[in-house]
Amino acid sequence: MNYIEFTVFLLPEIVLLVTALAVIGIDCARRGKAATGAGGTLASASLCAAGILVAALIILIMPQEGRIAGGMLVLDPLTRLFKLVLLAMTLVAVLMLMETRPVRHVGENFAVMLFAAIGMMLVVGTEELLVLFIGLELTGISLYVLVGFARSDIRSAEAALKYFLFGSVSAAFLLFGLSLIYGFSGSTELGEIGVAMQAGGMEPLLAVGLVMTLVGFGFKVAAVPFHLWAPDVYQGAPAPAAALVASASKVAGFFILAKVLLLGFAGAEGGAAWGGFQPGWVPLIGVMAALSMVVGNLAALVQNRVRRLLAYSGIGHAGFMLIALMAATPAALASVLFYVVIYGLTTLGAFGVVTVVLRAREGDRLSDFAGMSRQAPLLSFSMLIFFVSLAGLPPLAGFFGKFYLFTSAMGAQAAPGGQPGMLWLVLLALVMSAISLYYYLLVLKQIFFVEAAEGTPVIRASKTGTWTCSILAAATIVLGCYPGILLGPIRLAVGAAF
Amino acid sequence: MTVAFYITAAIALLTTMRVVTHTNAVHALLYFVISLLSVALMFYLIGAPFVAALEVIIYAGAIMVLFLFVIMMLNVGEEHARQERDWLSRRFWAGPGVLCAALLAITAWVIIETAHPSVGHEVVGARDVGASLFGPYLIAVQLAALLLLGGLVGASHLRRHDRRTPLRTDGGKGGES
Repeated sequence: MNYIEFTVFLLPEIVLLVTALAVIGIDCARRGKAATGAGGTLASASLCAAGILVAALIILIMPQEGRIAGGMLVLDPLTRLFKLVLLAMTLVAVLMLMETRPVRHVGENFAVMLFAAIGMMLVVGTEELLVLFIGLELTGISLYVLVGFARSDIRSAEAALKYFLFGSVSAAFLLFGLSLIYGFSGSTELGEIGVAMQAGGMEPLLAVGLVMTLVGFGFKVAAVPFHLWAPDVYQGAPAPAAALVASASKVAGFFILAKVLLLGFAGAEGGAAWGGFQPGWVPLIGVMAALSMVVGNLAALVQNRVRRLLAYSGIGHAGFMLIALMAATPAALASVLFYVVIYGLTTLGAFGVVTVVLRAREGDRLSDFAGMSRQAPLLSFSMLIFFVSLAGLPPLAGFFGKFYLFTSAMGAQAAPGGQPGMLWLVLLALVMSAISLYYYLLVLKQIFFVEAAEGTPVIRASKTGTWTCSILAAATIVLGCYPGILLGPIRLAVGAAF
Repeated sequence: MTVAFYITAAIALLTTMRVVTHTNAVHALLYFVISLLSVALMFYLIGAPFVAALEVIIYAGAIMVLFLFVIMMLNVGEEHARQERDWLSRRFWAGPGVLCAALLAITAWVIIETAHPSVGHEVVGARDVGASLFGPYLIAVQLAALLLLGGLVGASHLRRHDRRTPLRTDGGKGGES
């Protein structure tokens, strides 16, 4: 390994880093003229957007593929695709940040957002535990700061503190678990760990390490019982930060969870077929999936605030994705990755709409959405698309996402009698999916059928906001009509990687 | 060797317990320093003198002294100690305590159960550590620097005193910032 190779492999991340430093530089240079916040915001946002686009372009045209330093950096079609997805989501978050009310030191806000993006890209592009942990920590620290960025807002501070405490304890669990796994396998590379696991079988020490590792990842993807931070963070954080936590961070979390489970813990699957439980990670994930679906969807029913509702529905969606992860086949992995991208895009869009409503009406209660269809028809239509897709109705992308998730789960883990072993989980998922339709419709009812009360401020969307949400909604429709556009490359890339 | 290891381990456990349970922040930190020193000794005993030295110099030396200064500057007084004592009531620590005890029991059982060959007593010196940091782990070291930079930017924002409220450029209308 030499520095040139190293630099080439990390070029997109380096571009983002340089952009982040330049944004901070601009912020410092403008300190004297800080009174006019809007100009600084625009400059920082466009610089960020340019940096993200350049990084994406580099990923697109860069021919390098392979792995260096024992899997510390991995570039293959799959990691490239997901780095692009993460960059796109960060770009939307940057645009959302530009839309919110200017605060002091906005440059730092953009810079920390880019740091989070770098962290997530590192997480996606590695198959080695050390770099994985560093990437997760970089993401985590950046997101804690982003969540607590609105310093004059007590809710933001509360959310940041909760996120930080949960995050640091779960990171400690993760590190403890990873060190036990290292002790067991003698390697920090996922592939070699998988080989050691297949050879060594399920030892008690390994079981403890496995459980601890799953605690850490359970926090990252907000699966029950490690979900307690999610509602407060979604609600308290500034909307762009919450959107980043809900979309990109979840994509990276699921990506690396899937990679660790399928590559590193291969051979320690066990079984979760009804009546045929065997020790391994599959039953653990099964319990988390079932709890997440039930708790997330039922708790979302009684929420009065849309951001909390999105948080609980996100927990439910994590449950759906964990089911397919249990199938532990490349086809199931492709369906999980497809779903998480769709989920990220729709949630991002929903948060974009919520941002606009928050700005106009200073709240996100269900009643604050009343009469929105008259005042911002395009945004309301986008919200309709996002929520119907999240609920999983055809012909939108969410339907096909769920369809592939459930079919791949049905095909796996055959029970002794030849029936699909995970039928119980899939049935539970179908019931919960039907329940979720109810609370999504509650919000849509407010938007389309309830008149705004006298004197409520009019929702006026800016051009950028409307365009961003409309593009995301269009993407949801297009991916629903032609899921192959995204699923095809994901399947090819997964096929190449596994 | 073995006796020395168990003695230092016992000291590390005791002092770490006191770090958590002590209500006076400065005293807790001093216990923490002792805990770190005993951990350093444990590292030395299992053949990692360089890590032991790092533990003393960086953790017990630099970071803890920094902590002490910060706590002294924050002027943590008697009322904070009282607040800490209130937080140490049984209903707060009973639940987590039971869970942690269960985890500890399982881990201990597992370690006793596992057939482990004796730990090698190969001494890993500064040269070996340096060679691996600049060899196979070069990327991890560079990325750790990036992590520190990210933490630095975040911390520099969080420590800042905002004397004025956030800017309002949208006609004084409130909202989320």
